[in-house]
Amino acid sequence: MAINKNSTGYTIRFSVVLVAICGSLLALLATSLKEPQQKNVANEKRQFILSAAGFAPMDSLKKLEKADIEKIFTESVTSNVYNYEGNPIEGENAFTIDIVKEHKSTKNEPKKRKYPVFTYINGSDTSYVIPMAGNGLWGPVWGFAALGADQNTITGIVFDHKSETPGLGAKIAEKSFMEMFTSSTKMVMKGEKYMGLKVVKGGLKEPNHEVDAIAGATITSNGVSSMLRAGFKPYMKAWNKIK
Amino acid sequence: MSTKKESLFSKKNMKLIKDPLNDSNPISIQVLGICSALAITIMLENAFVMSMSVLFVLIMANVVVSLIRNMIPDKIRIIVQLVIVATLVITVDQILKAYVYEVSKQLSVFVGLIITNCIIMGRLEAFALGNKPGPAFLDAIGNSFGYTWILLVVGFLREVFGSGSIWGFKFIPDSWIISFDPLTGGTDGFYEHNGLMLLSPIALFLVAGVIWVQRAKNRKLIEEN
Repeated sequence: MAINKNSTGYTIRFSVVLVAICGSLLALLATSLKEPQQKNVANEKRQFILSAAGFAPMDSLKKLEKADIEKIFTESVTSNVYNYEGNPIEGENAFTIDIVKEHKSTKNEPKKRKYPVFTYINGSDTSYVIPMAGNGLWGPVWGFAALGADQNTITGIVFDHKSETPGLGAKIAEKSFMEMFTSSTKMVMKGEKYMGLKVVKGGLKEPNHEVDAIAGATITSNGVSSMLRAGFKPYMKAWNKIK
Repeated sequence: MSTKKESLFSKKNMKLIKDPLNDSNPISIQVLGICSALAITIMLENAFVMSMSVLFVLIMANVVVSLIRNMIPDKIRIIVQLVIVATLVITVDQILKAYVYEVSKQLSVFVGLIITNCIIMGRLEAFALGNKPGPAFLDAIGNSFGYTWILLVVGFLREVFGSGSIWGFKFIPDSWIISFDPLTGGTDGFYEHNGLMLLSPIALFLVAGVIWVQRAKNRKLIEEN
């Protein structure tokens, strides 16, 4: 071999070729796997909405095929999008609104946000599933809260998070925490006054509007709390609950 | 280096597989790649998927680096290794996201962090750069299995005592768990999961336990002070 592999020219040529090969391999991979990845994300969102709406618990939804979930979802769920003032926005696809991105891009400006709602109808039962997002300790937290036919009482709720501490903040996505919202009556409105929901420490002062925080996960609990306190308001305006 | 052509499965080469399982285990003896061992061993399934990801990345990286070892310019060899490892890791990450979405969500950033796993860079630098692809392949297998078995042991213990399940299958019924009974005002159940098992630091104690057992059985591993 006559090539001097330590010369500058060779080093540059080598790196260019290596990067070109690795780069094109990755580009090929990313484009070919994009479809199944997006399907996974969409499938999970449908599972969350159906589970909050009370169709079935998350565990049993996870056992269903993606196609089945999609079928159930399209048959039983319709959607709307509102703005902060509670007026409907026409021509928006509620399902494709990424609530976490929406929350991030309109930080501190809730008035600019879009507010999707999913209406689930099963026989005579109706529930309204409201997606919302907030900030946890390490990253975003989000959830889907379902209100019953009175558009006021919580009938189901699911939370998820990106990277909260396992065993502490991550508990918001566990059954024991989510069940607190449905084991006793929780309401968004107190008479004609908007209350939202709160996650509080040291005992509940308003048992219909508060749940207990998670010990050792103050920041995550606070994040969930502020998400729940504000998240329902635009919908209450849309439904003329706030006079 | 001997000029005689030796078989891939010669005694010397088999040592490449056996040593890292025990006497030169990357985690318990060389103490490399500890960070991921702490982070993703809450559940057995996560530990397994993580191990398989490391197995894939380490084998591919070792073989590729070994194949082009005579072409890599010395001055940029670390960066070249990094580019190769990073490409492989992103490949794994994308595949997990597409086909085992649930698990990839739980492993979160740690798949990406395989890039910085010291075992991989360590093997590339110490072995693949100076050896033929065959031995490099065996070395990668040995080291990733050395990593795997420790992760599985730690993952098993943490899942059993932390969540009362094995591979997601619960064997401790909910009625055993101590809970407050509002009707009688007393408490039900007699068992409680060990919450410490769910936190990362416990893995450090468990790995230390493995190290202790290993050195108690094999005295030559004990360092002289």
